[in-house]
Amino acid sequence: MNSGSSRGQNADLLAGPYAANGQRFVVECPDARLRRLVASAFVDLLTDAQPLRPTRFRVAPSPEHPGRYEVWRDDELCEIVTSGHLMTHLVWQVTALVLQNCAPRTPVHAAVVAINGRAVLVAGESYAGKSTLAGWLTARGWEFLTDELALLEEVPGGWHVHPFPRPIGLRHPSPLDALLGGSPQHDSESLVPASRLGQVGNAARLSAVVLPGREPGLPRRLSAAHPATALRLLMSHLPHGGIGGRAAFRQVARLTSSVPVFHLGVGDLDVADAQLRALAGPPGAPGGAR
Amino acid sequence: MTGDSRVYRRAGCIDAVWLVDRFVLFDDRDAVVHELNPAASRVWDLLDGAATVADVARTLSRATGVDAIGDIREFVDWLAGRGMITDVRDAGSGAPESTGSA
Repeated sequence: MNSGSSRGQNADLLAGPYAANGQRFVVECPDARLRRLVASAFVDLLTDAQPLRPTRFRVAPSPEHPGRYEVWRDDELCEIVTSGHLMTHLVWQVTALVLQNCAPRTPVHAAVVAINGRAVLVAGESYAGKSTLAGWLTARGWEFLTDELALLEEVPGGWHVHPFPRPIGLRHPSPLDALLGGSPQHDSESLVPASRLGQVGNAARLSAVVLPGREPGLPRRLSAAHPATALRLLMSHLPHGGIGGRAAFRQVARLTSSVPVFHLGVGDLDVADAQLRALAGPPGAPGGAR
Repeated sequence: MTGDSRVYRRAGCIDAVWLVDRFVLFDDRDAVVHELNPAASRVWDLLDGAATVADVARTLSRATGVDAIGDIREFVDWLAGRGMITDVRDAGSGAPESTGSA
């Protein structure tokens, strides 16, 4: 593992190389402070391999819009953003790179954690608590696979989930603040590498889909959910439903009709942890919840 | 022709899968997914290019004992407004709809 700088041309300006679902990329930042920020956020995607032709993101102050930054992907200007949105946008660009090149895997909008080789996929609307739950479970010994984009592969007898450990997007105040130290501003957002909380995992067999909720009165015990709701949530928020359109829709429909789906109130994260451990089953148990 | 005598069929840009007791629709044009409730799923299933809106309402009324023509009109207008169903008078020879189980 290297320290976050790439050798080669303009090596002093580069963060990376990184790999996300096999897609190699580097980030060129003339600004040293920004480069350190990028290196910190993407640390879980670092790779030793020196790619021949990585996708090259470039982030630089805009000469025409003072106080704003240009984000380039290879030779194409993607966006001009404020400093406050820069990192979020860069993470989104990396996510888009993965989405555009993820076939034959099916991308869905969900967080995924695993324990004892069995993955639990957490699907929900924005602000439902996916990232917080994934971060909390990672800090409690689960392996982190992703907080936003699950990459599914249909295999004989089930499904595998492949990791995409992009930094976890947290909105503060967050239950994770105490674990992370510091005192983030209220109503701010930050990107936290999962390795700051625990361990990043490898591909794992999917054992259940969980739909989290924080509404008062929502049972804190697992209760059976409708697979149609899971299908809708898993297909939401990704551009054009992810790659594959109708084929992906059909594939995710097969997933939600073949893997158990549950609601879970996540108002108490320790209770949620216990519920999900029971769902995944003890070490060595075949298949987890069925 | 009044609204209730219109005949609609499901648009070819919509894929649909049946899960337990309802349809989930996928729109090819914008990749938006719609989860229908069981009653709306019955309406969707009956929009076959032959039944009028009034026929759909009568069929559902016989099955449930409830006159829901107002809700059905509203739902059909919602579908038509999004191009998810087409009036057979305007449809020409468009692609057939897709409806199936997961």
